[in-house]
Amino acid sequence: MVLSVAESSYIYDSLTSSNSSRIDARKANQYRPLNANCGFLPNSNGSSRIYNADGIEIITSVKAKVVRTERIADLINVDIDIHGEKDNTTLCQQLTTLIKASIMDSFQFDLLKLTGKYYFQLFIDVSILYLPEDFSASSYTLYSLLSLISMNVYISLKSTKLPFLISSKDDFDVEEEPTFSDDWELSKFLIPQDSKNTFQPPLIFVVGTAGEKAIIDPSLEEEEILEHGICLTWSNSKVTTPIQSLTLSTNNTKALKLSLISEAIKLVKNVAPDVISALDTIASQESDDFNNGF
Amino acid sequence: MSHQELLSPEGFRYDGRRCNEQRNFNLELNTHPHAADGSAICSMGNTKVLSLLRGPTDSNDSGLSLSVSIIQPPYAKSDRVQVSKNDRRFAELSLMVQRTLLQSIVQKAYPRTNINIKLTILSADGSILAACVNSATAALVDAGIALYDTVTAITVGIHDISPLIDCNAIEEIDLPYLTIGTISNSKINLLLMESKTPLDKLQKMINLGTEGCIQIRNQLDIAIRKSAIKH
Amino acid sequence: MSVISIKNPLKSTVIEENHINESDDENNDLMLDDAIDEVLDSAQKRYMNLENSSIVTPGELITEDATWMRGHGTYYLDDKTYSSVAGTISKVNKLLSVIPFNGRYRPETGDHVVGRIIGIGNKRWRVDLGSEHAGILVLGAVNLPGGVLRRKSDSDELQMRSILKEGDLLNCEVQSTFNDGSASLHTRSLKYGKLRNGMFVKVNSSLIVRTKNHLHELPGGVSVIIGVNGYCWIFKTKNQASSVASNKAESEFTSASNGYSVGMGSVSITRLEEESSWEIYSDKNDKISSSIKETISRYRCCLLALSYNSISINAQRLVKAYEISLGYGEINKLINEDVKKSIGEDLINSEKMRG
Repeated sequence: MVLSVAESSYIYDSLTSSNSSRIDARKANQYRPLNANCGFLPNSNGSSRIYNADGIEIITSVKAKVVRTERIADLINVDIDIHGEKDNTTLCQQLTTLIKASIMDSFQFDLLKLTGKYYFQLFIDVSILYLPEDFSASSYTLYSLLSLISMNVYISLKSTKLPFLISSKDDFDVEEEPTFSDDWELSKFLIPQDSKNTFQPPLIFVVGTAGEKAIIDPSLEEEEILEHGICLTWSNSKVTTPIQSLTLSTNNTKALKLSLISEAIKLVKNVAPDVISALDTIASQESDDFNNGF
Repeated sequence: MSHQELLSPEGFRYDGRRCNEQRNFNLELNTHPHAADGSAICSMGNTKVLSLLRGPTDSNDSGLSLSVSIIQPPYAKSDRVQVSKNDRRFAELSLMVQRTLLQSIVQKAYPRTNINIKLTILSADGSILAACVNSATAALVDAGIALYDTVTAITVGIHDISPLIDCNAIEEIDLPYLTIGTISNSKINLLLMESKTPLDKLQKMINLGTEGCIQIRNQLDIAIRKSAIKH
Repeated sequence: MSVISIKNPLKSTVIEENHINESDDENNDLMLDDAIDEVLDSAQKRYMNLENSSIVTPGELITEDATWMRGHGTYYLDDKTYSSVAGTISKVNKLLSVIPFNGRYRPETGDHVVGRIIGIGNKRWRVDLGSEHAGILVLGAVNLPGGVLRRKSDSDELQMRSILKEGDLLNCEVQSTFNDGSASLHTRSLKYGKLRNGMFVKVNSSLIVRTKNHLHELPGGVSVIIGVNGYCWIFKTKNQASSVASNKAESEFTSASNGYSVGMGSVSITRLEEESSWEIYSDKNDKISSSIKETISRYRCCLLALSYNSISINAQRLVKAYEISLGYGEINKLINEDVKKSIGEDLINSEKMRG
């Protein structure tokens, strides 16, 4: 959306004034309401769907395949598709790289280990169903999608279920392919839900900055006027890499002040526990009926 | 899959249905009010197609240009398959959907406009073309676009002498089948058949198909009225 | 107050089971008209308070009576009138039309709308109105700086961008409509023109009823333009006297910085008129206090709450919703969907009480 000069200065002035306010009346650390649910794709091990009030909707599916490999890097595949855009646009590639990097950095690979020789290979497919109508003509870059995608990947990984192995775990000496129980009731979660100290999937937060202010979850109008964006990864209760600066809008970019990075880290530390617990609640509400999964 | 298993002597199909029994059919309109002018999700059994319609918007052509694109994400089938965006098969299917729908739109009401329909196959288990047509029709209705009539479609397969309605993926692999789409009064405006079938059985299949289309039309009608209450 | 709320759309809503699994019998009878009718009837009874007969779907026969005039949303075949959209039947005198439930805004002459410039060319601006076709605003249909009586010149054409440029919002009226449904606009009145000092909100155009007046002054020093096309503008109420004074200097600055400016060489009736015309096209906001900004944001939330609940929007309702929203405490709570919903419920209840 192209804003008029008067509009953008109104938004910018409200945000950066001493009595800072956002146009939709949110606090700096407040998200817009989201809708999400999981487990609705009958053909996937895990799936989730998330959408916000702007209409941006993302569907993620996690599929697992049994492979015999030694290369850890092959075990996780991320593929992002934007409906209506060509494959491999810059946006697509950058989003894929960042999401994949965030997962690879902290993933606990022994969760995927099936037997002595076999591993589960995960395919994480993300479809972005809708982009704003005027995306190609506007100045926002949509890197803020990162945050929504990573939330979605989080929910689907948490709700991913794998079949129960009935053959022997130790198969170094025997030539045997892994066999699984037919009973889906016996399946178990990829990431165990009960224990607190196991690995948790990473989350990427996008923080926008303007003047001295840092805000979480910028809306499209706000992105137009933001001077800078920072993406931070949150994994296992701390801020980790990748941390990267992003251009959220091509309109108004200025150099990034150092103080804002620590401000952003503070902001993420402040919101992350709440976001995680909200996402966990969604992930634990399984859809039992595929037909009404939408 | 042996031929026998697809239809037992007692008249039950592989998934327990009768010959003339549809799968669970569910149609929902206006599922994405923020994202599109018209939206719908059509599920026929495990096949689930989402359609997002944008328009009518300005265009430079003199008449109405309707563009339909079908996308099947890699997770749609039980084995992960990556489908390229310029896949021939899907380009063909989207052309069929486009031609079918274009006939039913009151074109003179939309000069110099463009209507864009994006179909996403969230989960594929046979009858893809039929589900796409049903879903796209519902999206057109939801967007308030003037139609002469609604088009509904269904597949019919043939097992020896018995026609089977609403085929799933397993049946589509082994049996000859056709996709049929009709508007009211059972006028056929879509018929696609890509396998060999004895000619004398064709009539039987078409008869069952048109009846199935009427069924779906009734369910579409209910879905439209239901979505009306939301407004 | 948590920073995020994520709702599971499935768990919070009751899903209506209404599948029709036709349980067929021996004689291969697939057509279960009775069963369908039954479901249809019960669905109608359950969901519809409207008269059942007034809702039609595409292809449905409306009447065989040839005396009706056929309006929008209908078509004609063999002396019979059919519906072409899903909607409700409207009968005005002898004109029969179907009003769709959903659909883009269709401009009508005299509509007061808010639009956004999306293109400039050939002595005209193209204006996004949320309708099928972009609206057209020709150069001759705007108040040019320099007074009403001034003639248009070629230099005006070259400087169209200094009057209105891409992205600018304006407030205008539909002058006439063309065959294809597109609109020609004008701003030839002091109440129309470029918008500033406020915030844009988009709601569904079907919620807005055409009335005599679409510009309303609201309590709290804020005004709103509820465009018929669903585009709304909430802004600080203009203080006529002070705004002219404060912008006097600014407008002089603008004309000076442009070197030559439109209207400089022309004859105007009074100098004041010239200045006020330049002011119309200023990009600069007045000083807006943070309390006014908060009020604007609150009205914005209220508009969105009305839209969320599909309640048709007018100024009285907006004010009422504003009053109700004050009872929900801090302003940042208003983006919550539950709060929006209960604002809508409260509003409906209060209207019922008054009858």
